[in-house]
Amino acid sequence: MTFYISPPKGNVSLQRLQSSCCQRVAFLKEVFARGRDLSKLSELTFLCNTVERSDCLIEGSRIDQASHFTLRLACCQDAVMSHFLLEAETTLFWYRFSCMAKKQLLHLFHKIRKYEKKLRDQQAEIGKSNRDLQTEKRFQVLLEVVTSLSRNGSKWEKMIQSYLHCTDSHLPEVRVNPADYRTDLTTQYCTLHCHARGTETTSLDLEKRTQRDTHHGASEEMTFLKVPFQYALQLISLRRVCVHKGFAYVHCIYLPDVVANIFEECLRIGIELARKVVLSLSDPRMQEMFRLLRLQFFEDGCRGDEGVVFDTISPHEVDRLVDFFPPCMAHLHRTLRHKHRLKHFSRLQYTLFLKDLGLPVQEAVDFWQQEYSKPACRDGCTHHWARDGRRYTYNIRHLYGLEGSRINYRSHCCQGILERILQPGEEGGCPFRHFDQKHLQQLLAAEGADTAAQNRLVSMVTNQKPQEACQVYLLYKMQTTLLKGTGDLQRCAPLTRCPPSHVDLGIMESSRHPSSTGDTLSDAIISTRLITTSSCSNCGNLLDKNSSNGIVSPTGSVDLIHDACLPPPAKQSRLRDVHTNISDLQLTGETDHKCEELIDKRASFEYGSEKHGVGKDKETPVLTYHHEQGNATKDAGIETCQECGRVMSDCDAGLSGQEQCNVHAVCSDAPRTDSNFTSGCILRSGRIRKPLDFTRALLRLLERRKDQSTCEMV
Amino acid sequence: MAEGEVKQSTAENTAYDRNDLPELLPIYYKRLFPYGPYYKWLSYGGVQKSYFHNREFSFTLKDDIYIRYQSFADQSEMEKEIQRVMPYKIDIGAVFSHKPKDHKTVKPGAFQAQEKELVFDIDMTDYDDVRNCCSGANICEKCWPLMVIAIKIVDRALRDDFGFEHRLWVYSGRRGVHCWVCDESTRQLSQTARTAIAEYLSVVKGGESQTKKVSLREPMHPSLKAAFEIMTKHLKHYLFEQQDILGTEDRLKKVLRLFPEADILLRIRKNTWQILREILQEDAEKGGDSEDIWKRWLGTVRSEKERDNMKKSPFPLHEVVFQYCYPRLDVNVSKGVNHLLKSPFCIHPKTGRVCVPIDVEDVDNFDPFAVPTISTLCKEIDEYKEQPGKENEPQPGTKRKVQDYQKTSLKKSVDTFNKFVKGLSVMWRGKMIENSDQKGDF
Repeated sequence: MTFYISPPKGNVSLQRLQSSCCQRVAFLKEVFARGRDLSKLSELTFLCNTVERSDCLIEGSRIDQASHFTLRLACCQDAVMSHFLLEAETTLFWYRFSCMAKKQLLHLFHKIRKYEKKLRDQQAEIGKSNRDLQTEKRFQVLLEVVTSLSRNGSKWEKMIQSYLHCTDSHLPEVRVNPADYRTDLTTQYCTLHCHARGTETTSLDLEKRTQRDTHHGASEEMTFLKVPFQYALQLISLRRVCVHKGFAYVHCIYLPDVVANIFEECLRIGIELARKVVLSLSDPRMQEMFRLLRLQFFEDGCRGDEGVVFDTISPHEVDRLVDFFPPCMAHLHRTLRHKHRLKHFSRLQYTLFLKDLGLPVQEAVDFWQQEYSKPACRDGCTHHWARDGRRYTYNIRHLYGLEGSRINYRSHCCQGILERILQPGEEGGCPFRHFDQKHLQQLLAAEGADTAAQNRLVSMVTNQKPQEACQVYLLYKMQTTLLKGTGDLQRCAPLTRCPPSHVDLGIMESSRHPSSTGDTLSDAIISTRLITTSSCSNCGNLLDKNSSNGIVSPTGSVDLIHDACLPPPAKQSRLRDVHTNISDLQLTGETDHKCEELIDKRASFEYGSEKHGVGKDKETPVLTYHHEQGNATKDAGIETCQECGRVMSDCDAGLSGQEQCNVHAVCSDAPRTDSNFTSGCILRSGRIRKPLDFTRALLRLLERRKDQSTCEMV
Repeated sequence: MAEGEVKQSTAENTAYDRNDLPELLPIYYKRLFPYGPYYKWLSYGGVQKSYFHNREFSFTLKDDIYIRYQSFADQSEMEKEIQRVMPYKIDIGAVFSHKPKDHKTVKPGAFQAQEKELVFDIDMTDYDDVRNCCSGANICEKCWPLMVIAIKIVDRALRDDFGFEHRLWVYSGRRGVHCWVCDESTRQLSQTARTAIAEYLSVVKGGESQTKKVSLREPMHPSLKAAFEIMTKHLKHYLFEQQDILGTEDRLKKVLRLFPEADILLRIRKNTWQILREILQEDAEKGGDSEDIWKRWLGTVRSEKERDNMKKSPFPLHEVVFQYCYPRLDVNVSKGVNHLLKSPFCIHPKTGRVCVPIDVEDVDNFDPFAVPTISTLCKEIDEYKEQPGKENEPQPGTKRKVQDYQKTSLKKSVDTFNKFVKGLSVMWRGKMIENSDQKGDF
């Protein structure tokens, strides 16, 4: 077990170092995405691409240490990377610790004690050495925490014993759901003490209890660790431990968390130290390596600049686009229109969203001015454009990178929005996480979802799956948009003939009042989605019956995969980026209506059917073409992407649906079978990572329909 | 925004007018701002030499012009700079790895925020959904108890649970309070630790679209129990008399909304909440004032509990109390090491009030409306001169016997501040001795 306290000495070839660092970054990314979850992390050890090249990860090996220390140097100068390294390495440590047996645990402890003693000896001859005293001292304090858990060796042994006892005897449960199991346990112990205590403080009781345990051996075994609160932070934020006078009383089952926290602290010091060292590192080869690692790190992160959706939109066009907004943003928009004010963070969130949608800075200022010049509908807010306009203008320009530090901010990603703690009175956040049932239903009703869909979505939310709920909602929305009109064309017709800008409105109208077929069908889709638990091996999304396929992965095992995720033939990629003008989206003219009708019929047929097959080809000739394509893609299943040359399922797998390779996204822009119509649009970007992905998917759908109709005309 | 405030001030006969600020600030910064103890606080006894000059200050000028990354070598430079710039507002930021002044000359990655006090910001606007008297930036004596409760609860937790010794509470000048935790180890806390502490202290969770913001589990955490005891002491006066939360139809409805409607998924069975809600509604219809109804409710819930109907929601009425009274921290302020917070003793530009320290021991008697405005203070200095009995005035050339602040109603606040700084100095005195001992070793 390694704490990575001092770097290894010796020689290693640059190439070896570089490749092992790359592997480590790739692996740590996997770890980072999984978090402290035993079962998910164990999965990792079965993934071929992680195991295959993992010699740099064999714990305690030289190359393990070398790659770790090199990454410290590579990451230390960037806040995001430092945070990543800290988090991922700590999780890795936590996992390693959780897997250790008694002998290893004891060994680890002895090692720490030895090192601490060494430090203490060094401290004695402080004056003579030129070492960085402060850091050494902090190290020592940290390690003392570990050793103080066990002034005499036997106490540590007992701690380990009771820790192992707790985990072993409940191993199955721990494996199934570690978090819940642990909560229960602490709760149980907490109850015990709450009953035992008088009225004043539980923690004091605990202290006595721990002392008693120390003195009288383990009458009830060693159940509690007394540690400075800094080493039980996760538990503290959940209020799962008692804290008194700066010490947390932690149940021994949390031992891995506590030790991992100590590891984290050590690493934090280490990174700080690296920050000082790296500046004096002038070897150009190292610099080049750091540059490559940086590139690898950011290649798929949230930082990826996807650009704006439209070249330019005007403030009054925002209202028409609202129907393409994800519920979070649509809610903000409606709130703004209704109350004429948004709280600070909600305003920030919405401004950035509109920015990435394509609202230019001056138009953004006009947009907000228009609202903020109206009297506030919410009592309390007394800000007004007339008085605070300067400040608002500054804020908007700041977000557009025109003021202050001139950072060109991107719109927030879903993860960030999900994790945000809302202030009371704040309207933002993710509706599928931050709204209670009543408000969510209201919102969905305002969005035009029918009751059945509302109920399904609400039930998903109670299952704590906000992002999946959003995805299902997107699917639903696509269907209502798609199916809107077999019998409704008449109603749409006058609208389509209107000046281009009104066409979207037609779609909005129709999705608000979905036809009865639309209802049942979309309902069916949603329910299949909910029932199937298998997920696509490529994008990680749920599979439904309509779009699953078995393909042979490079490892030889059969993976379930979305049709849409199948590597498409490297064909035309003309939709490389959706830099379109709003007018491009319009469906105009009589001819288009016929096409639409066709598409709609076909679509409804597809969605209603169990599986698309040859039989349908008679109904819609277009389908033959698409079906063939489907075969082609299947054949291409194990081949490499022609653009980037990497094996498809290999490089697209895992990592919370993040795209690792842009080329694939582009490739997947090629037309697909109709049944993948909707799912393909969602899955292009793996998963909804940013609220804008939702809008993009809907717009793409619309665009595709237009393309298809023109295509059929030809 | 300051309408309510202006009314209050006019009552005091020395109305503060925003337009006077440019004239009053020079007097305030020249004669009243307590540079001495202020510098003593932020330099922490000079144990670490660079601590003060690596500290970021940020000034806000007229028309919301921000100047960030100001830093000063020592007290006199700070004094001079403040008096030259005459900031409308001063914010204190983090201690950086380099002098913030020079941040542009340092390599971008190297300039890092390293330490800062752990800060908390509690703002009355966050309580709008549970205040029946005012909203937004306005406050009155009917809702101020919320701040008193907040200070007591957070202060207790910081002291007893986390063992932080040096906590400075400051009135923000308008509608809230700030807390600065200044222990040495606290200033070094990482962002993760700050977040964890803030979350430990956050019970009321959710935004506008989450009506019921509190859910408590069995067993209640000792920290929440202690908080509840503090809130219990304010129930009668604050919740039932001042806010009268069950007094009118609308208010009652608002409280009952915290017992959410039937779960749509369990539509067939009525859920616990709905049953409880109906019973409580009946109870309330029996009449009486807020307190009567509440007492009836307590009885009802107790008997429901005995009948074992409340397994899933063991603390329904506690939850109401927590939602209405428990401190609502702005977690995002506490999280970051690099977050700026308004400095004590600056003037709130909109109300003209001084951001004075609050004596926690005597927090019940702290009256935000009695906090002096800059106009009052300047007038007080003038009036002091006019009093013939004061013997110190004729000799301005000699060492000032009576400092200007002592002539004004700011005295009490400066004394509170001095008391806090004195408490701090115990910490660094110990540290100095330790250091010199170490040096003496060899």
